[in-house]
Amino acid sequence: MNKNLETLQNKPNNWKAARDLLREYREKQARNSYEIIKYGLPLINKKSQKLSKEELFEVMEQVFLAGLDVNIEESKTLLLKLQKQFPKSLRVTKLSGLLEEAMGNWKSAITIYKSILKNNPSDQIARKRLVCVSKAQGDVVLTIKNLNNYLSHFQGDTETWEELLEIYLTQQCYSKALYCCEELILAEPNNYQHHYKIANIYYTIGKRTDLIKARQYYAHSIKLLKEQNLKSYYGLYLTANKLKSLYSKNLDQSETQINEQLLQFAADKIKNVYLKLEDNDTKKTVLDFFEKNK
Amino acid sequence: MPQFTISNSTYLQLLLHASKHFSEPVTGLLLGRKITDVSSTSMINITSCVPLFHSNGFTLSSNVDLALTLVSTYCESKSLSIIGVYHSSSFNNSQDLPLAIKKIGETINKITKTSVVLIIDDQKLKKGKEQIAIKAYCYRSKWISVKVNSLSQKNFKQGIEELSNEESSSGENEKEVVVIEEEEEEEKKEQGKTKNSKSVKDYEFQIGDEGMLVEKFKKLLLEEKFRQIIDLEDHLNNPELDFLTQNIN
Repeated sequence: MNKNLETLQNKPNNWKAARDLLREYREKQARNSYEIIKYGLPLINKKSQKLSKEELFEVMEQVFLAGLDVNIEESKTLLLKLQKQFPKSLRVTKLSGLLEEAMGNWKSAITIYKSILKNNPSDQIARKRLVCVSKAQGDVVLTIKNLNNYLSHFQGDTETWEELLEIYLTQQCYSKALYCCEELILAEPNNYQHHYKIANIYYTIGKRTDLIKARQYYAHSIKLLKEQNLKSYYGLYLTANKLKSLYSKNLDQSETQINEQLLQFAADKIKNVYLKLEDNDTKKTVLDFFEKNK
Repeated sequence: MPQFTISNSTYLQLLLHASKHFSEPVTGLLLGRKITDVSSTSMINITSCVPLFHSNGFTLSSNVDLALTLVSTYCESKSLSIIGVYHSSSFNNSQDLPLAIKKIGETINKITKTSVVLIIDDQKLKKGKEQIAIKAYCYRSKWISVKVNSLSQKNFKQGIEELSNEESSSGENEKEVVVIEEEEEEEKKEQGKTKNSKSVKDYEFQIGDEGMLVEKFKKLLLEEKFRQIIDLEDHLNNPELDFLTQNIN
């Protein structure tokens, strides 16, 4: 468990641990809203003098964002303070847009973002927020259109390619999802997650050639990250198993042999991971499964 | 008349899973038992749940296959079966079941011949106006919406007696399992389901006392019990964590 979080659970008034925890969260851009409100609010309200002015406002922004998830009244109060301190700030205006979004006031939010874009047409954040509003309204078609529009201007933005990928998956548009994944792999070829994701999509489409591609991508993901990559080993096992059970007649002898080797390789690796762990229901279930399916 | 019931702890656990990952769609499996008594009334009791995903992982067959494989092996050892799936969508105001969830439900139906989908309706959890927050659907050649009824105190004792007679073989020490009665939705009748020999009237989905469940849920949120919920994704990132048994309540 996180060192700072542990300290705070024993001594909730330790302002240094709270400050350090929030710094960590800011660095990782973590959305641990419950913790941020719980430990950040007392920091702002009671120990604000312990922080530098710069840091105080960063923490206020962070707690504001957390409040949008779990305690919107606090966010409203914080926004007023920030607006008083920075009356014409673009950054604070974006926060006011976020508050409107969190309250469900879509029209107000859209007005705010459009006015930002009027004066700052290359502002990426306002553009992205417009996409988020259309997503929150449930308008999938418009969201996809907005995302594609955004990506035509900012092709290198991997976060947005991932968002578009997720939406295509929810709409079962697998070929378009594949395209997004390919863009991700082009942008970040050594990121094992992208190879794992594309393998999942090929597996889902499920024909013989797709399963073979899936198997290749799971193997590549494993090559990029050999340990702590349990999900890719499971993927490799399931794909080899599916090829064996559905398409064994269509595979020639060498392919069958390769498939069998990969199947055994994945099974052994998975078993080894679990054998090192303490006993629990999951460990027992996994080892049972491999026992029954030798 | 087949009846569906859900234990209080299962209902609370699936809500806690959704609370832990408030900004993402969550999916999990429902486990339970099917009991048929002498008068061929079958009762399907949902006694526990297995949280699976807090992402769009449910749309990918590889993840779903893995989940169903592991959970069915687990069920064999505990004489349970997979009854259905629960889900909380990332899209607000979505009226329908997501297609991927329907597919999971239909796969389950092929194996166990019963399938229930519970969709978590977060609109029903607004501050001050909290209610039972699930919509139920069951599969009879196609997906039928089934109204969820909360048991009032009057029927409580009667329900408990009926259940305790039928569930004597159950290993669960669930004191609060209650039988709920469902009424049909008028619009379903109007859809002209004359082709189906059993009418929708036959299906009932029951859950415990609304007031009590709402209070208990609020209490669990304050105690931050949702932190203890572990799903399949958490397990894949850290195999030490056990996702098959949740120890809450």
